[in-house]
Amino acid sequence: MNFSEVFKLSSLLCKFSPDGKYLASCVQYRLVVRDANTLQICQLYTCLDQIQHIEWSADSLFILCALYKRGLVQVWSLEQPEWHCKIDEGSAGLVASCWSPDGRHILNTTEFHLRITVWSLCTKSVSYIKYPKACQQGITFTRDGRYLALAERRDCKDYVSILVCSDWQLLRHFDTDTQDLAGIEWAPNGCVLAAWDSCLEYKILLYSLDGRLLSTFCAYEWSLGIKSVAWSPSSQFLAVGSYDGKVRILNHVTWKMITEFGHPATINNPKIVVYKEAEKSPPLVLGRLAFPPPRAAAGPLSSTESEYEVASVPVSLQTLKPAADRANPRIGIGALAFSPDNCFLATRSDSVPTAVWIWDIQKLRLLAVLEQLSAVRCFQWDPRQARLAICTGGGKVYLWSPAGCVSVQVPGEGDFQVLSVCWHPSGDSLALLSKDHFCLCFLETEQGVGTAFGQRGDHT
Amino acid sequence: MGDWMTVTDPGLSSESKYISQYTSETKMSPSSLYSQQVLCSSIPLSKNVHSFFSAFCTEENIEQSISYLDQELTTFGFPSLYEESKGKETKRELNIVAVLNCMNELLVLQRKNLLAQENVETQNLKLGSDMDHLQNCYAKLKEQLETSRREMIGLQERDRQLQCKNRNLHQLLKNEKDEVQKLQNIIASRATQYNHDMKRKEREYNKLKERLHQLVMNKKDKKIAMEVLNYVGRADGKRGSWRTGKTEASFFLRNEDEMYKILLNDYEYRQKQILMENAELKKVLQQMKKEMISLLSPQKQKPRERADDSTGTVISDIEEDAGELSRESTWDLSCETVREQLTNSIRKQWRILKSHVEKLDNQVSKVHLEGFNDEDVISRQDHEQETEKLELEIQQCKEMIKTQQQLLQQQLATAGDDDTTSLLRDCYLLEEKERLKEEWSLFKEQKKNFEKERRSFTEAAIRLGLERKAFEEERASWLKQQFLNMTTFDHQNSENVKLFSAFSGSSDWDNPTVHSRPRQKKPHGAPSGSPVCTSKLTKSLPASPSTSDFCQTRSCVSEYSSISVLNTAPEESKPNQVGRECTNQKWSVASRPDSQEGCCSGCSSTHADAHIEKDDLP
Repeated sequence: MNFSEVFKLSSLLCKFSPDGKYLASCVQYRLVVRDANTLQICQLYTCLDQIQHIEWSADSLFILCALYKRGLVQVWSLEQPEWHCKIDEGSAGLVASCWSPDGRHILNTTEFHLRITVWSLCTKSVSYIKYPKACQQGITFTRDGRYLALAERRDCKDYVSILVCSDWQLLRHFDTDTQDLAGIEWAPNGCVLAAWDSCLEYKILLYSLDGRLLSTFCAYEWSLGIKSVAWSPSSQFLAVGSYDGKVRILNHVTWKMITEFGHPATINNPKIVVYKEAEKSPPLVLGRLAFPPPRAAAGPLSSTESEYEVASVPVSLQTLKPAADRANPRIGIGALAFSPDNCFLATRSDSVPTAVWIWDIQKLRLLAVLEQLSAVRCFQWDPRQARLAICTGGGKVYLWSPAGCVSVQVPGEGDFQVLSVCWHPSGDSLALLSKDHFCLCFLETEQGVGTAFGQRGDHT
Repeated sequence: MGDWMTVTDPGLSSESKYISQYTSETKMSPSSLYSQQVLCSSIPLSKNVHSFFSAFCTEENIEQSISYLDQELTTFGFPSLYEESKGKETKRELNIVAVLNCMNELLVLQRKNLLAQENVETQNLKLGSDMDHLQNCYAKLKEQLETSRREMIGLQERDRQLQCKNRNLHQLLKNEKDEVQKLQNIIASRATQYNHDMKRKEREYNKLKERLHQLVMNKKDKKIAMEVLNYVGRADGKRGSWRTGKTEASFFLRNEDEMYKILLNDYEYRQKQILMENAELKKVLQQMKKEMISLLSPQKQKPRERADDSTGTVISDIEEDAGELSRESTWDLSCETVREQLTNSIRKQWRILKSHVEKLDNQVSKVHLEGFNDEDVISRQDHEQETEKLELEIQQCKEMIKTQQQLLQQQLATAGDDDTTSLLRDCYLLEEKERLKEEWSLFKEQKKNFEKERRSFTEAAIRLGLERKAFEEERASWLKQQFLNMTTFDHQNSENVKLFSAFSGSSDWDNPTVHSRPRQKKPHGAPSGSPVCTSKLTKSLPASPSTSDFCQTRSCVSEYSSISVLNTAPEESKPNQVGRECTNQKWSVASRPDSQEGCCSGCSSTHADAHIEKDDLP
């Protein structure tokens, strides 16, 4: 495992291009585009103000930089550095900006969600979509880029509009039986749309592309409901994480629940592997140990040393007492993600912030639990294989695969606190983002990784 | 009185009657008080009695006393104390005999009464103790009753308390329920209010938004604009088309078409997947079915034998299904009937399998249970021990068999000659039989040879006879010639003739015996012990036709031989008288049962001694 040198970064804005060739990162008002392999700067663009959001177009030819404060969007072309485009939303303001899947249209949401403006880069045409709903996830494109589903709110009722992306024609428009629609998400195959209600009510609705209601699922009533939703890459499963600390898996045939994954604070089953990140006493670090794997350069300033241990069951995890009198209590399943091969599901329960649960979807049971020393900031699956990268805001990045688990200290001077991670589309490298720096972590080839994991892979 | 009756002997019942009569008339008598006393009180002292009686009769009132006693006694049914009066005027005389009799009877009665009294008293005592016991019991029971009553009261109290508590709890529950209901109502009302408020707020918000929208958008904000260096081509290379009213409709239709196409594709894909899955599942089912059938069919006979009606019918179904199977597999249709058939048959077989497995389980558990009792546990150690033990036993058995064989052989060797030992050996060994068979065939060949020889012999004899005839004729003619012309060398010639005739005569004499001897001797005579062997062989292998045929021939031969023996017996009787008797005995045995054994015994008559031995053996 090799690490690049550390580059500057602001606002955690660092993204690989969809084709994997480039890496865009922002430093204040500058946009830097580097070659993803050599990390040499290819282009350098200067925006009018601090960049708050960047997004690659699907064909990796353009990058949009949103400057929300000024209500501006600046678009840069990679092929023609001199080409530029500036979209000014004026007094309407700007809160969100995104590409349409064709990479030739930009959807800007104005302040107060007054409307969505669709700007075309091909023609001078501008389309407006009125009444977009201000919600968690109100815009979703199908994976093939043909359709856009949009949550709307009119006359105190929720609607979903399905538009054809090629000409922004309205295809379907239907009301959803929700109190307060919180989010919509297309299934990866683009034929089923999941819509869920706000956290006040547990309700998830499934609509066909042609607007028919396929099914409704409600696990319980009178309690806080859905917190997170994720489709499996095969569109076969829909995982719904809720405030009761459970993940419910729905199937795509009957849309009924297959199983329910609870997140208990104690783990008794000896079949479940519990990796516990344990602090190591400093004197031991000086000796050359086989594990953790040798680093490029041992950080002399790294305050804490730690490594994974396989804890013997029963293990009780560190739980957080939620403050019941405050809004957005830290309970429930805050994040969940399927591995690209559909085999695993990673979840995080907000009441046990230090743990990541990994579930075996083939056997529908808990496979492993990773307990970190500090709260898990984010986790992301390798887009190519069942490999999970986890960061906790510390100086380490953690990788899990079915073979085992490793924690890697990010080398470099000073503390490099990994706040977020971002996989290269090929899964060969990983961008580690800290508050104002980023570096790339190049993972070894299959064999190298195999040996690296092999050290702890004996128990799986 | 009743109690008294039960105590007294049945013989006393007549007296008791009297007594009852007496008691009814007690008022009349002056001594009634006393008599009652006697009856009621315990044993009176004899002295008192005496003094009492002395007071009763004095010198003066003898007559009255006697008459009173007489009266009293007659009322009791005793004969009168007076003699039979002849006349009314005459004074009645006291009959001493009657008095004595009466006294005696009274005494007897008294004794009886005393006995009865005693009995009654003991009874009374007994009853008294019984009574005490019962009273004790009663007291105890009363106590128990009291305690149980107290307990009951305590329990009732507790029950009451519990009921009270329960009522309270019910009340609490009700209250809680009410509370919950109230809270739910509150929640619901709050929710509706919240929703209402939300809607109101949202409307306001919407109005504001609308207003803002108008303000922001209608101002023709110059700022809202896009600066592009030059427009880029579409990603797909197409040019953006203009929207007109006409094209919009067609666009819409096209979009719809595309959407449905996508949906259709998805459904088709899913259907294909489901079909594939179904096909695989069907395959699995079919395979399962096949395996089940193959698994269950070997047991077909067994349950049939058991005549288990349910399994029997189901198994016949299996057979039908087995027939259907080939058809179904070739069909591979998802037709409902087929599906139903398949599932039904699978279900049926599954049930059979289940019941079978359960049965097996039961058996296993039973065996386990029994195993614990009979120390027949199938643990490995025990198993090994058992096998070891069994092997040892086998070894022992083998040894025993060997020793037995040896003993038998020894016994036979000491008891009989070679023939019998061979016979016994034959009895044991099959291989020997085979060998004997071969021997028999060899004998047969020998017999054939013998026959041939005999034929040549007879031919030779015939020839010899012819030659002799010719020679005789020649000699006759020669003698005639000699006789006719008597010459000087007469004597020498005659000597020659004598010699010759002696030679020829002996041969002539022997010839018939030679002819007859082989015929009777050959079947049994030539090899020692062979006839016995054959008899044994025929006995053990009656099924094979060759041997039976052979046996028939054998029996014929033996009959013939025995007859010949009988015929020849007188000739040989002189040197061996005992042997003749034996043969006669044997003959009678042979003739009685018209069976093979008889034949055999007949055939082996020459070896009579051996035969007797053989008969004794089994």
